[in-house]
Amino acid sequence: MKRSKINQLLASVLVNSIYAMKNYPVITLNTFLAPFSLLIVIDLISRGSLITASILGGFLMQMTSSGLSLQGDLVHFKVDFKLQDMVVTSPTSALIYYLGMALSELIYVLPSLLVLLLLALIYIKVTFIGIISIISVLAMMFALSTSMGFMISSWASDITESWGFSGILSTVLSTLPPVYYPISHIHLGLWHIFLRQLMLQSFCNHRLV
Amino acid sequence: MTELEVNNLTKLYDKKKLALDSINFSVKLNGIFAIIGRNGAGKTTFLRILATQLLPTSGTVLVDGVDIIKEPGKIRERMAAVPQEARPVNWMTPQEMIFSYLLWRGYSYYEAKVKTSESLATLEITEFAKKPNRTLSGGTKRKVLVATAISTEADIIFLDEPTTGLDPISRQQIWSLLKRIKENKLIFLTTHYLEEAEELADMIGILDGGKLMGLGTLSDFRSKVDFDTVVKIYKKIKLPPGLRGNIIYEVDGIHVYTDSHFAAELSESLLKEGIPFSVSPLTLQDIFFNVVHKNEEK
Repeated sequence: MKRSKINQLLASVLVNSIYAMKNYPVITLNTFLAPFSLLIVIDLISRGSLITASILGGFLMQMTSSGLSLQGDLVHFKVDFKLQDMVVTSPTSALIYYLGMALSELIYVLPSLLVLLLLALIYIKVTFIGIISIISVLAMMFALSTSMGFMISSWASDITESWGFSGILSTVLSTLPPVYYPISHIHLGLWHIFLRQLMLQSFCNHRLV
Repeated sequence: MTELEVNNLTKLYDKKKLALDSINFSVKLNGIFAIIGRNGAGKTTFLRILATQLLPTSGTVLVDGVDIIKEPGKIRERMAAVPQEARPVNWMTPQEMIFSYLLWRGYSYYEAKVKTSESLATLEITEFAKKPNRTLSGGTKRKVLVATAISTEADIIFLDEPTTGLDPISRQQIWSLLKRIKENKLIFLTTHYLEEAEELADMIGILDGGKLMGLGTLSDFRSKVDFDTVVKIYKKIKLPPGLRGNIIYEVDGIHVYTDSHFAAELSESLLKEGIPFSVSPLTLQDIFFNVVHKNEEK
């Protein structure tokens, strides 16, 4: 029998995003609103001076939250529905399953990405190279967060534990780092600690070589 | 006919908990292969290894000559499984569930649509096709999962306790479906309902404490034991001397596994003394209790 790899990818997208968005519209609304809450607060506090950073922050946050949501969704399918076992005992490869699931998370955030793109076109003036850099960073962020999502989903024994991982990763990846604010706003003391650590690391590496 | 060969299959959890202990057998079979055993006997572990969902600690499993531990990809297109405690996805309908699973298996959009309708009709759940899974009864949810597995081209289907928690009517419906579809398929099911294995199975394996205690058809098991009748005495009494057979002391009385001749003699004396009892031919349940009892004695 000839098997369609496209349909195998599509199955994950249908199950994890299209049918969920269709049957639970509140999920679509929640995913859509998520990046705009911080964007609006930062824009109001900075009186518009950080609009560029906060729009880019919105993009980054959506890429990060994709991986975090993926982790929860995979655990849900694995533990609560045992769907992952059903897929394992089928001709679907692990790679196709995971790629499809990652793609399904992009479908979730697509509406908010389109609005952010519109805002970016209005407020951000960047060169062609700048656009390529932003897209590359977003792609890398998506790859990093979804990879972490896959890895953590294999550790988490149930959905409640996976919420704990999501909370920690969300703070570490999208709240503390300069996502919604420019890197130049990081306190000088923190920069010193960071640079000292970096120099120490390079020294140790040099000694080891 | 599917040829299944299991050699020294062992599974240890966390390097200490022995779930399966050197299982060996070889069968050539089409139809229903039931593994029976108590909770924790190793049934689910065994099924998950055969369904390529879990790796054993050691041993090999060959299906038609293919080593499914080393080359699972070669056999998975012939397999489908419904795990124990599986549930149809809440936010989907039965139609969406079966359709998506067929896409996962690589069917074309058109083929998946046709097979989904056929499968819903086979399980007689077409009327629920567009209702959200979360609103369905437990029995219908189970049927959706069985429909999902049988909608595929798979000729080896694994069902882990497919009727647990179902009412007698839903159970009967699933039994009659399995009897209908078992031609040209190997349906591997685990159950702790012994009447289910007795009703459905063409081949039965008894697992206890991770060991395969017996394997064969129901008539094989019957011929292997030295008795064919069970006398259940509902009172604890002193049994007459020269008793032929096995005696198991239960909380509410005594079970005597013996031959029909001695059962008649015993019945006569029990009748004279007015002691309540019943006599019945040996069932799978009786054989199972004997096997487990012997294992516990060891």
